[in-house]
Amino acid sequence: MQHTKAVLLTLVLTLVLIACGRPEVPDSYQTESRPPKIMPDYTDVTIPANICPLNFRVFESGKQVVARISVDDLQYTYGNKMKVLFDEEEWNMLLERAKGGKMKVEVFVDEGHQWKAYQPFSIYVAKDDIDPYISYRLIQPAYVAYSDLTIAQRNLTNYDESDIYSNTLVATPKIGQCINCHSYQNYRTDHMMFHMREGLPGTMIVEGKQLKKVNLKTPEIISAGVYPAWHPTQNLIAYSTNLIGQTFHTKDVAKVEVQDKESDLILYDVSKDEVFTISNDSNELETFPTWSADGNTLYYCSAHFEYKNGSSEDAEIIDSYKNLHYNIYARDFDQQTRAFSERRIIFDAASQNKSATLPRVSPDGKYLVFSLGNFGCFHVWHPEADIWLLNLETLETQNLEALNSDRSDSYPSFSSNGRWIMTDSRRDDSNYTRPYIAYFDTDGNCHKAFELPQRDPEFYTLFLRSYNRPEFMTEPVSITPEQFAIEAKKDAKNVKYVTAPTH
Amino acid sequence: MKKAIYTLLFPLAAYIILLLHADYLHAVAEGDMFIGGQAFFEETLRTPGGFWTWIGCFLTQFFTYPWLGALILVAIWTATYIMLTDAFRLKGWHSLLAWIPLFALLVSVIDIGYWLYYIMMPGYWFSQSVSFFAAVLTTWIIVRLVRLVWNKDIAWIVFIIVYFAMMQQFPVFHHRNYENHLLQLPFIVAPVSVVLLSLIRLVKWQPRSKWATEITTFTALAVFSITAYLLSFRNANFHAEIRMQSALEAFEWDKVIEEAQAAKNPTNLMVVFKNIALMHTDRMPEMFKINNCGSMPETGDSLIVRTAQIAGPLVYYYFGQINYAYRRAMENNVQYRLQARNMKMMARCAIMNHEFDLAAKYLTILSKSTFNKSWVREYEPMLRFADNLHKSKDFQFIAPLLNEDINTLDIDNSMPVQWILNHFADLINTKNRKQDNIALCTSLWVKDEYAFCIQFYNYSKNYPGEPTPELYQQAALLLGRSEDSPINLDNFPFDQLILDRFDHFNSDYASMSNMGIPLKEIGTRMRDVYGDTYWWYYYFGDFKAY
Repeated sequence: MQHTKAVLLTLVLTLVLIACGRPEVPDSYQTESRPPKIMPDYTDVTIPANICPLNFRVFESGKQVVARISVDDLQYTYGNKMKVLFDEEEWNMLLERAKGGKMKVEVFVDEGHQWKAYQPFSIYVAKDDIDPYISYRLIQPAYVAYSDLTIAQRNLTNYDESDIYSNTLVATPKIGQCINCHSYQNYRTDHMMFHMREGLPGTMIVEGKQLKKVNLKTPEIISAGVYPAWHPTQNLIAYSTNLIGQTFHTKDVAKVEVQDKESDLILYDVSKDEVFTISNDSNELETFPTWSADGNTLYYCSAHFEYKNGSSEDAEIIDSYKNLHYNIYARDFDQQTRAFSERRIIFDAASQNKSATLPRVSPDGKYLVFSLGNFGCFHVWHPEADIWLLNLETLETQNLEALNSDRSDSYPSFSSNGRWIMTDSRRDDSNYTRPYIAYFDTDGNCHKAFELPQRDPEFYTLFLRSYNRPEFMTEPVSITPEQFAIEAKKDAKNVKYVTAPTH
Repeated sequence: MKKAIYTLLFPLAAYIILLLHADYLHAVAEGDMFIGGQAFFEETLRTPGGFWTWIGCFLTQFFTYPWLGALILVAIWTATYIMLTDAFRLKGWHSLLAWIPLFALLVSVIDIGYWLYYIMMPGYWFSQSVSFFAAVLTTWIIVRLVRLVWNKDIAWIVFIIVYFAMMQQFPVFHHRNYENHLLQLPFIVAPVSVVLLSLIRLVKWQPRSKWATEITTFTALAVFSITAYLLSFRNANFHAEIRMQSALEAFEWDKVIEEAQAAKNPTNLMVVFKNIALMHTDRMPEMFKINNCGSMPETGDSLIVRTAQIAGPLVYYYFGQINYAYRRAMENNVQYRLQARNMKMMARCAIMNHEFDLAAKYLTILSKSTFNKSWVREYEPMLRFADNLHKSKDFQFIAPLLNEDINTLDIDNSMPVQWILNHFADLINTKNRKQDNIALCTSLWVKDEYAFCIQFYNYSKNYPGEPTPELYQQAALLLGRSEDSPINLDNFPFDQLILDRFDHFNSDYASMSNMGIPLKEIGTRMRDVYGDTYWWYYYFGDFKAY
């Protein structure tokens, strides 16, 4: 009996050891003078010290991979067929040790008849942390159709993702609901908003623990609020108002052109439920407002377009799609009187035959990032679109090459400490946007970007949704999806249009 | 033994009825999608009833081989029947009634017709039967356990509780402003009939003899089977469209043309399919020789179907409109449900657009399903070597239609066929004979006289000295010699036979018209003699894109 027990125990222990066993680096191998092809491409990227493990897949011919990760004398090996999946605890130890330095990654691939060792690569670990959360809308990159949409939040220190709101809570096969443009005040979630369109329409506003749904459309303005920007300190939201249309390229790989037929800017007072016009020049297409960190300046984009007969005609603006060039402008904002100054140009993209969109200002107020394309305002569909940096002190610009790719890169944003820039990129496959994050050091240099890590490195290949409007957050949203759904079912409160204050 | 035979009679009948819809079942497999792995599982689980959907999607792909999918479905029903009879202690003729819910589920699979393209529930064809089976299985287990200590008939109560606990999504047949409630009936009949099974034992009537029992059994099964068959959607054009679509996807042009020739009153979509096949076999000028007048599809209810959803991606693709094909496939996947057919189309479009990373993504996803691996193996080599792409049938047939240098911004208003006809009829700067023929034929198809004259002028200029196809001569006689015509055909060498036939057509038409015969009747009378001419189509033929 005791003998049987001993045999069983040995067997169990053996099995446990096998299960927990680490792959071993081969004794002999052929060397390859290049780094391995891995997906996502984490070679020589710079990452924050509080990021979850960067699991990856090796895209070389072979049946088994062994990766040795080392920081000084601390080293671990991993390998699961062709995937490298880190242990989270060990990963955190590696991060801690490598902070301000780097990890060395050596990859060995079993090709069946022999092992091959690839040129090692590094993963640099910055001293600066990243905001622990980001949020994004998950949407299939369709054009007109949509079905279930989610605004989700993701913990960057692990892989946890949860819904902030999902339209499946209220939408039915008969009445769909589109949700979009989530936005936060100064990276916090106690003041946030998002829009709902079609079914149960309105703009959902969070003020502390209070929820309200408002209708921002008044007869005086061309549409309800669209692209938002919360004032960093005051209970105010700047919006663009847009009449948006879509047309489809017969051949161009960009496939679709999204254009504003008309667009203006408004300011919404969240406390008083009042709106007034900031800018509504009929020869200007104003859009994409964003505040400076101190709240004294409103930046936005505008393209000059004059309709020949004075009224907006679809065909006219569609035919002119390549001639729509957006510049970046600024207006000073008096926080006491809430009056805006006249506009001044910050970046003249039109003079370079380019179009600048989606500006965001760094928290220290020194820089502004934006997307630069050849024309138009919807750069997520423009393969040539890249993220550029504007130094607000010198007004010099530079292409953030380390962040960009040869496919669409748009929707840039700064983390709350200004050390990380996130972009929505289509570099993986040209159609599905994924968040990429790059380190932006104190000297204003951008380092190679890394893709938002997932537990399964094959995730992005199999995932059929785009990450839309990725935004940094310093905390998770505390309102539950169900609470939003209850408010969504209520009637929206109409806002009042008032005259804009003047100096 | 006899009991076993009785038990298998209805499944056998159901199996045969399902196989009578084999083309539809294959379309079901292409119209659904299963992706192996955790991502799809988790994604599906986020939706109400997601687990049943996931199982439904997994099993629906077995309809790729209709005999196999049908076999699995019938096996699930048979197991459900066996458990129902045991849980409810049904014996003799009472047990026949346990087939009622399964009869309802059979009907729900084969009665939806054109809703195939609009239903928003992935895995619908199995998910309902599987979840029903799970409810019955759970009931059976609980009843069996309870019977060990308490010999009471509580199956109906247990079933109600279990059924409502498990059911999370009731099928909805809604499209635009129309909803078909009749199609929901099976999902009411099935659970209600189970509950009523408890009451059947109150009916004391029994067949008087063995023969009477057997006759009752056979009669009941015959009624179930015939009713199920009669309730199935058997519209000939619906099934022909499905077969033509499959043939087009496999580049089997002749099969498409044969289906069109066999159809008495084809739908407009069948006409489009036929013309696509003629176009890719360089026979487009024969398009009016095979019925070019189509009808709206008969859906059996008030559902208004659109080509955009039924075959928009395919039609665009075979006319070389890659971006629009991709867009339609994407929109249909998003708006209705994920479909293997659309996923394949998106992969093909990405390959033709040289978006190889995107194509690789779709091929990887398709390779995670059970029955699309061989399709992936066929297309995957095209990503790696241009030579493989250039040798492919896709490239061979589609490449001549691509005008890489002409890009326009446009909107199709969800009317692919109308957009294609207008696009090609107005096409200038054609690149080859295939495009010239399409431009000419589409101008005739939409009866655009001016566009035809321009295209005919270009055609004559591009192919001087070549014999002009009969169709173009017919059309030129009719459209090119009017006062408003922008071209001068005074010296055009028309064939004498065509000239003579045109004279006969005109005189026959004039004489009937002078006799006061209504236009429609003239068309009917002249169809036998002139139905293969453009003249007949021009005056009497109708084609309305939808």
